[in-house]
Amino acid sequence: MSLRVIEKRIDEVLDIMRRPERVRNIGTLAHVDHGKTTTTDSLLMGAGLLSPKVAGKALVLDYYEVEQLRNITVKAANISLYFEHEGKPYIINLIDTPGHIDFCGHVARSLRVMDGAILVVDAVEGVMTQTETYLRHALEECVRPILFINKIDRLIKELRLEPQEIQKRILDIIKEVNNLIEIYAYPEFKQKWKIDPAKGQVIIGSALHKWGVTIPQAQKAGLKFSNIVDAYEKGHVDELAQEFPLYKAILSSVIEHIPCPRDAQKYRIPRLWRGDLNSEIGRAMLECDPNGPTVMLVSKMTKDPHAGLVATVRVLSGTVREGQEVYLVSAKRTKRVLQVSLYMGPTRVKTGEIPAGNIAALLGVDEAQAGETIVDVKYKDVMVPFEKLRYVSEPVVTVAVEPKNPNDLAKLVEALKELTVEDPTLQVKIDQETGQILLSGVGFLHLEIAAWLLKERTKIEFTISPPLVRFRETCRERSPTFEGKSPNKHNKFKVYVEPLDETTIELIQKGEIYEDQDPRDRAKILREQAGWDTDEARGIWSVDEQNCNVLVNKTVGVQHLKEVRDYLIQGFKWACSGGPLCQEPIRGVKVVIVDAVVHEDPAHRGPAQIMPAIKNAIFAGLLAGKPTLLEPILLIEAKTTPENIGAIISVITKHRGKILDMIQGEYMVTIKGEIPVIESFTLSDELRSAASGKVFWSLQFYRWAPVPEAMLMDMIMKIRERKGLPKEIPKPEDFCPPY
Amino acid sequence: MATLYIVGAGVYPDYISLRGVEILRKVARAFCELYTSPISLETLLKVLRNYVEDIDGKIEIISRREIEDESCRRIIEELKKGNDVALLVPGDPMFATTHSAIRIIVRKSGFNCEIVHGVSILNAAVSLLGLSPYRFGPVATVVYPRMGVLPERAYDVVLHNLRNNLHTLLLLDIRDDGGFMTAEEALNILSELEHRRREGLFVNDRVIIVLERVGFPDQKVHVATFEEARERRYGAPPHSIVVPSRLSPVEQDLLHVEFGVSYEILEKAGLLL
Repeated sequence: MSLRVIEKRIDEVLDIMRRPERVRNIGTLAHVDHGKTTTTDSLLMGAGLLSPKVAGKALVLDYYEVEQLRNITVKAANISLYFEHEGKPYIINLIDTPGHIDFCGHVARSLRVMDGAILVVDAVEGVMTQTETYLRHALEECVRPILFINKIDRLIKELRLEPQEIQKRILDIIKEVNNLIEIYAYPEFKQKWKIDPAKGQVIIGSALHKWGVTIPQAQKAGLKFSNIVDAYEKGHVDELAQEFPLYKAILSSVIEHIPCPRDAQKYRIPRLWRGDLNSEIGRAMLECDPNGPTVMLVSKMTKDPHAGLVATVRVLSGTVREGQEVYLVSAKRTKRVLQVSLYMGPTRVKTGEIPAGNIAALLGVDEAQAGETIVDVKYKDVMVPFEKLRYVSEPVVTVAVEPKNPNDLAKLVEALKELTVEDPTLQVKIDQETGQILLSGVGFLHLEIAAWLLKERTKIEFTISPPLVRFRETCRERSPTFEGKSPNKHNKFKVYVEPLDETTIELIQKGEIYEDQDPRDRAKILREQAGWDTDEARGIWSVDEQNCNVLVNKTVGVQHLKEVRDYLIQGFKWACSGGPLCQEPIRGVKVVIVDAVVHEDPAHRGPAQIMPAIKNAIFAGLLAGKPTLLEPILLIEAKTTPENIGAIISVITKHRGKILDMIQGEYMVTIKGEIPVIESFTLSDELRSAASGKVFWSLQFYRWAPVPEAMLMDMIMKIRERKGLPKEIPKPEDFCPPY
Repeated sequence: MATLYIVGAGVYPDYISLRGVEILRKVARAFCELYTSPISLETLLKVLRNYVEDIDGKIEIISRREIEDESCRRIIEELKKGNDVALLVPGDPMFATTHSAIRIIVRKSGFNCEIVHGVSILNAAVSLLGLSPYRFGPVATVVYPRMGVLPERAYDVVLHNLRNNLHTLLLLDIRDDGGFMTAEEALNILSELEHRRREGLFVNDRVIIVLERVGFPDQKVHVATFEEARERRYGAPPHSIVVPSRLSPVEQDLLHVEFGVSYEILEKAGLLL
């Protein structure tokens, strides 16, 4: 075990960073177990650890320190690598991407700040669900991929393939990746970004054994597949790693094929930013101009035990400097940058400034969340924020977290809140009645990882309840109009609810329809894409982005209605956070206010009056609109050998699952299906035993689907019982009595 | 048929009418609502005991929650048994806190409802100051900002009234925890509204009248410019504020003789008719 340490003076590094053509911002993307960590490791160990040069003091690391550094570095938000290619120095920022699809909220945010990605694919397993999901996200974010086909050794040692079979396998994987690029890339990149092995855009190798080679490199050196097979059979793998180190193959390919920040921003900014490209800010970002207005995008917030919250940002234009006053566009806060640093290996090294095109670590912008746009305070009023990041996954599983010692409660809640800062796909809620701490996430694994992190950081002993699956409440037809009254009966709102169409739900999920949108822009999209009536679309008062509901005002000339608008919106969101069937969130519902009476005096129309009034009307409407529960459905993709197909299918169908597709590959069959989350608890064991271990599978959130009618009442009653709610489902009259 | 008597207790319990007392003696069960006045049940009973001997045994507090969210369940149940019920409320039944919802429920449920008038802050403030009731515009409440919204209704009403040469009575909000807004807080809020609107209503030499505990044994009246009023300290609530428009000679004289207001400051503020 050795680790090269490359010492550079800060000013030398900054000199490289000021030249965008010498900078690359990349990350690795891989299906679970395809070798992301070993690849990252191999790059890090090969390229060497960048370290600030301190006069007269050589940095010598012993084995233990090296191990520690590695562990820290592999988990860091970013590592800046130093690499020389054709005699020129480069800085390569290797941005951390989350390893599991459960974190795809994280993935999208990491992708935003990188220009290229190393797609790692296991040579045996080939393209898997997560490979496809990551690649799709990358292409949507205009991130250019190169391909690393890993674990070639498995083809030789496990499958015992002949050289020409290995070649065919590699070509098949390339073809599969190119098919995905054809499907998901923006039109202008469909051809340009296809992976061409002849140009050196594919690396084949083994991260474990630290060798890797591109086709041109192999041809130049006269390396053939038969030589590789030989090396494994005769035990010359070390020589292979000597002659063709993986890091060199990958990093050279990165430098040659991944665009530098300036080139990338020219096409990425128009795709990812909605502002005026001809404005001062727009031009500066397109040019990656270090002298333009400072604009930064936050990819990750991390908690440093000593320094507090650290924001990892990509500087898109201008130069961020210590002491600079900046504005957080979404948080609407002005902050002062307390420290600007560069990620050198495992530590942040203060640099005082970081120019456009690079990744920086900032202190002082605590209120930022991942995805935030930060600008120089002078541009606070003209900055258009970057598109909202899309979170495809939704929190569908909840656990109750309980400290063994009740005195630790406050500390635990504090630590959980910090976790949600770093990962907004996690939610923490304290149950008002039971005092339980409820943690929700996008999957079981997601919560397990969060619990692990929590334990690591707090060292507090706590227990986790068995996971509870979250449901949604919705209606299936338009309800009659109900009149919701305020407790003092001086305010009345006539409201009906109806199911929101699928297209609109999708537009909200994709972030194309959102809360703080210009009403005219929103109306235009809804009219053109979802067939909304223009007046109705213009009347949208609120979009519940979390649960995909909208509030529409269709009243005309109601006095004082505008003054209670904010309270109505809050009441609408309150109602949507837990519906009348069993207090699960309401989803996919359009709430329409058709008429209203509002008291003239504000003492009689405060939130305590208005919020229950609208909530009651929404609840009555939902109950009268053929209500149902929606349950979360997972997408399962299982790869197995042909003889196990029947067994796998029967496991899936036994659990109310459906088979969606089956693809016959060379060695494996891919079965795609869907299965309800509540049916998936024992899935791992059952799949493994059905296929005697010969199955790989992955699960991810797929969609919300109505619970089968035959199970509906039973399911509602079970949830009500669990929550200690009365045994009868309320009726519309309970919320809107006749008088 | 059973009857609900909504009895106004007045601004202070000793303002209750003889008719109100008669009804309290007659009914077997009475409820009182206390959330719109800082008067405690103890003070209320201390006064009432002098007139209704068995008041302790038959009066119960009814919460805002029961009135607003549960449609006065206990009252309706009692009426259904055929018993008359009294509901004692501060002020007048139908004024500042409008109990019209109860009246409608009781009527729609097929029972009688009778209103027994009480002295409301609305008439007590007017007659205490000697301002002409013919020259008052609509009332408004100065409210706290809630959920980030500060309603501007009070400002709009005063503006409209002054433009029409009308006086304004401003009532002060009740906090969500049951406490009462003080004049100090109200003046700060009005000043904030002025800052937002800048139409010259609550500026330094505007004359305003702060009423402290109207009808209570320790009532006080402060006539001052807005600037002075903001510097003063006031006693315990309830407080209200009057923003006078131009004053008729009778009104001027009454303010002068009763509260020692100099004609000079009224003139300076342009309030002389």
